[in-house]
Amino acid sequence: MTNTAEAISDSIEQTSIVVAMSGGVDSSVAAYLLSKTGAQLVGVSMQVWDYKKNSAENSRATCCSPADFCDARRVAAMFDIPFYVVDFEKTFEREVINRFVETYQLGMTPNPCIDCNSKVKFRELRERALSFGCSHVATGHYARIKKSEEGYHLLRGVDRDKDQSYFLYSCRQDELSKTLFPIGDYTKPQIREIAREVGLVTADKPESQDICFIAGSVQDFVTKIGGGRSRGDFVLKDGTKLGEHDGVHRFTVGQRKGLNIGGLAEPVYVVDLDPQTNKVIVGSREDLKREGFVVNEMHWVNPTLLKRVQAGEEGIEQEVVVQVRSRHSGVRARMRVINKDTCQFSWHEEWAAVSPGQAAVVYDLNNEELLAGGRIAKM
Amino acid sequence: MRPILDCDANATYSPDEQIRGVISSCLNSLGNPSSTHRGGQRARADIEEARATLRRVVGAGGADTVVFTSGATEANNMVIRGAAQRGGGLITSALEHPCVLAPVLQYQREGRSVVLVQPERDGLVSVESVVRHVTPETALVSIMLANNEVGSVNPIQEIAAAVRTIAPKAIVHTDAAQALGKIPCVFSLLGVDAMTLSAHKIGGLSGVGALVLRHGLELEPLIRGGAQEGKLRGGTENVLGINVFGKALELIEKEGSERFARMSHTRDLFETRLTAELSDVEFHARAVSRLPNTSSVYLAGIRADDLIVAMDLERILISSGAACSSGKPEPSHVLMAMGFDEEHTRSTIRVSFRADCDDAGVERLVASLSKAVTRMRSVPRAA
Repeated sequence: MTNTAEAISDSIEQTSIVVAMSGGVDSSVAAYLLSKTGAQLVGVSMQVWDYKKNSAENSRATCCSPADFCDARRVAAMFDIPFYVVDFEKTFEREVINRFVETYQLGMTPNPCIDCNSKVKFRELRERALSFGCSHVATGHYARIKKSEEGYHLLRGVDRDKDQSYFLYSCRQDELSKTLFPIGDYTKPQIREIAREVGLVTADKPESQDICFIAGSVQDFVTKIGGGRSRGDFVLKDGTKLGEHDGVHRFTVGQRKGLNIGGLAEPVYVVDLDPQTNKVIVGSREDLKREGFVVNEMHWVNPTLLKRVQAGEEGIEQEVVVQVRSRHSGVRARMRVINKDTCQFSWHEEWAAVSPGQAAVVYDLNNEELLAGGRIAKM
Repeated sequence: MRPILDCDANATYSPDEQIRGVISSCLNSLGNPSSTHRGGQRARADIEEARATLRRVVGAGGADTVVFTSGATEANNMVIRGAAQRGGGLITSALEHPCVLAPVLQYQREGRSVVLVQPERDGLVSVESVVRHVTPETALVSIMLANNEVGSVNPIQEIAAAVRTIAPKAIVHTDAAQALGKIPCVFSLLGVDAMTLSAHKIGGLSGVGALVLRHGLELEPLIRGGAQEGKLRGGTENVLGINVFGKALELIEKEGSERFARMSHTRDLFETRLTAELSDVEFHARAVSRLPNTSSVYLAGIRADDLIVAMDLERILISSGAACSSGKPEPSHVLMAMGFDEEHTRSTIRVSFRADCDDAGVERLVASLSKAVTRMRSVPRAA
């Protein structure tokens, strides 16, 4: 528990903490670890989405469903943690679902987990925590927070395979100062082991999927919630038509699987999307290559960089590692700060395909400390 | 750790020390009341004792029928279905508990004529608003005696009398689940044909209720089975629950009007003290006849659901409107029917006192509420 002990310097017994409990094994163990510290805990499950109303029949959502809340409730009861289900549906629909659908329909690839973390978990949950009289919020994310003289630093979780810092790049300093990630120092196998030792009902629950509110396919969800979109063509860069598809929202830049275009010698990738003409532009992997890319809506996490950017310092340039998808280990690049909201990145020898709309998250050269993040702009 | 301060008596009036003491003695009487042998005889006698107590406490005559049910929900369903089977329109109010609204609205979906009478802004169902819809063909008029959320007490006696003059064959029913133990509930004085009661609202156990029926009124059973409860309700009786119901009734009988006065003192002290401590506070149904223990409080700028949590963390139990069985709180249909908007209903809490709450309890409640409300009003809203 070094992570927790460090974040709350003196007396954790006096600290009241809201623990977000989804009913999964990670947040269950987070609650258990905190319960051992003597802190005053309040377990909260966030009701974000009406699964009954919005899911196909017989589908089972992957987390945060009523059945998961029952598990969370049982875990909370085991450690005598008062437990509440709090209604966040309005915020979730406005900040996560609507933006998710809109981004897809603009021919970009959204990342709803980032919106959920920033707008729901770290904004509204914090507001509720303050209302309850709690100073801190704890979650079961695989990430770490370290304090230095400059401020708070957000680090990847010790378990690099499970690290979730990518989703947390919009955390502000004041939020980091009141946030705890009790499992960030553990690996997933260790967490499962602890859960089994303690006898948590959630110990052997399967991993949740990437997008918790979708039980079927993303594309069907976007079609249902956002209304049907029209069919269009697969074309090469030069305009040659290769086939037809059911709507641009079904595709992501860099996608190779599921295109169903046959008869070509090389593997075919989606290289661009044009929602205006409903065209999906395809090509070879080389066609995906860019010299660099631009990132908007930057959030600055590292306290030193944050101060420099806020002071309006010009010409900030830095060698960094940039991660452009949630499942991506990061590639070295040069970051040029245009202004506090916008950055330009240029690749060196190595490069990665980038999808407009997705988050680009910047780490230091050790690929450990999260420095900043933003959304990849349309090319 | 501080003791729990229960200010949510309208959800459940949990058994006090006296009743807890009685429960263990009731465990000697757990036989099947339908058995011939002595194992059943005791249970049968105890049930009849409880039935007699109930008749006495609620002013029902020896010829009136008392059917023990699994609770107020069953009793309400039984009378609604019984009335509907006779044909004719159904009249109830928009203030009712879901266990009246849901079965009535089901009949509406099936094509039956149904009127939901709207209350006034003070939570009262006026005699005129009911009578306007009554015809000689009306089968049922069901208006609650006291509302569970805001505590308003309806003029049932006047409504019953007025309905009779137009529709002598109609069944006039009142759901008195929330009124019993808080105001006098005298069946013969109310002049209704049927009255619903609940045990866990007066310090008994949940899972028991009763339907009182005027002598000569015949209803079909809702639950068919054995010949229990005068062939009106199949199924082995909840012997323990009925026994404890009887004991709880004896207790409120013994306490008499002193009980009501104590509640009234506590609630009035609470409202005076809270008004002194906090600004932008509004009490619903305050100007009308109201349950003495109930205070429905609007607190501007507050999410009631968050306040419930904050108070629970202080070990103080209050609620936002009715107890929520779904896990997903809907805005109060009672306050909406009274004409308040959703924001208003979501900023309203219900405080409902037990008879044994003392002045120190009120002070503790007011101090905690003031602290939490002041804090919550200072938190900037993210959304």
